[in-house]
Amino acid sequence: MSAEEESRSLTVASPSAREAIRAVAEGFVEFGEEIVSEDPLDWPGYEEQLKRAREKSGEKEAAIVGEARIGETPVIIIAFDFDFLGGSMGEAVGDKIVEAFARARQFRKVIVSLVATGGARMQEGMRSLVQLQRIANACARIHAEGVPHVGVLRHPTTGGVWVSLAATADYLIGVKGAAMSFAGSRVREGDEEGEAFTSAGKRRRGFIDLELEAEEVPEHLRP
Amino acid sequence: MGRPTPPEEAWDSVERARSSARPHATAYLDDYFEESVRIFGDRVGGVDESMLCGFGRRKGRTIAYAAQCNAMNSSAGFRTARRLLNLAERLRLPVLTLIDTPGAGNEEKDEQEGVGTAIAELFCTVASLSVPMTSLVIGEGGSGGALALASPDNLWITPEGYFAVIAPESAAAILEHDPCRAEEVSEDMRLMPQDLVRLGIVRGIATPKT
Repeated sequence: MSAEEESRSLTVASPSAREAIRAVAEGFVEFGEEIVSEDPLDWPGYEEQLKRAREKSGEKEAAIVGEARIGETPVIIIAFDFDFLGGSMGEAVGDKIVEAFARARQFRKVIVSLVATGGARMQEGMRSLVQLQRIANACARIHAEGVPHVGVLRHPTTGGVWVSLAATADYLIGVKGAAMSFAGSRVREGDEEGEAFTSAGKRRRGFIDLELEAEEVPEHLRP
Repeated sequence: MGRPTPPEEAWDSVERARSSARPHATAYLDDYFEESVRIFGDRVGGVDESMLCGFGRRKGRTIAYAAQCNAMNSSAGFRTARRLLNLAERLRLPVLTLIDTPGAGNEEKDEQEGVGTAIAELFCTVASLSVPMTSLVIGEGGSGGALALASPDNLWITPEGYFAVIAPESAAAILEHDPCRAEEVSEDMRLMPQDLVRLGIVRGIATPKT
């Protein structure tokens, strides 16, 4: 497969962080790879779950961050890997996001986040939940500096990450079909499909700016 | 107000927080303020009776308050709290929040009304506040809908409170496929006041003496 064919077959809808990044950007150079989870609550079985998550996803954590280019524009990328414990956010993911925002501020680069997550990581308890405040703080700082944040919301984008990282982005693209809500999506009876819990519902009510098929996203991001 | 010491068992914390017998927001507000004036509504068409916001007077000082009433707050509630914080910032008034919710509203109508976006914006407003903010968990600290009202560096809890990243029943449903095992799961969740002190989430446990 040629490089061109390969890049056409990649999709931002993939649960894999690196595939989603390759679908939209070039020249990705990671930072913060040394930031990994600890076990603040001494949660039964957590160490084992982390080990299995690393084996399954090939990643050390549920999100990776780094520098890249989209067209000619240098960006800071935050990409979640849904294969790693459902893209859940604990302290390590919070640290990486804060670091990404800090570098975006320092070097005045656009932040592009590629979100796929079930929300806060239960196994780290309240240490996971306070990441929402740290992200809000990072957000307030980039607002003060005029650094923009574009969010591409993959399937699913829910819970604590929706209400911290995602919903505060300046421009939001939902990938068609993505589950998108604060509460986990619910099975409704009868004809109600619960559109409100999806990308389509968010676009209908103006909580995101645009909804696109996965394959349309790369071109839309290019200037 | 309330009991002087936290319980020994995690599920006791949950039960105390959910009990109608412990003091709720209006009891605290009436006890703390000599007089108060309420603000009402989010100014974009919504009202949440379970998010009490306003200004109270105590010993010559005016303090802005937002207090939850142990209900699932709606988008309007979070937007009203945000309006209150913006007012406090503009008028240079210190802020007091009382946290008590099992969680934010999770019905279809809540998503349609943008509960997630309202919570996100409240988190950002709290993050940029320059006036002093003090927060007290007086009952249920139900995940993001509770933390959105929390001071990032001045959070306290009463012996009747708990704070959890997810409701114990939901945790049990996910982990054990059985919400009835919530009591068992709650022990691992470290949601009691003394756990929260140890984890650095709260500065301390507020007893009747403090």
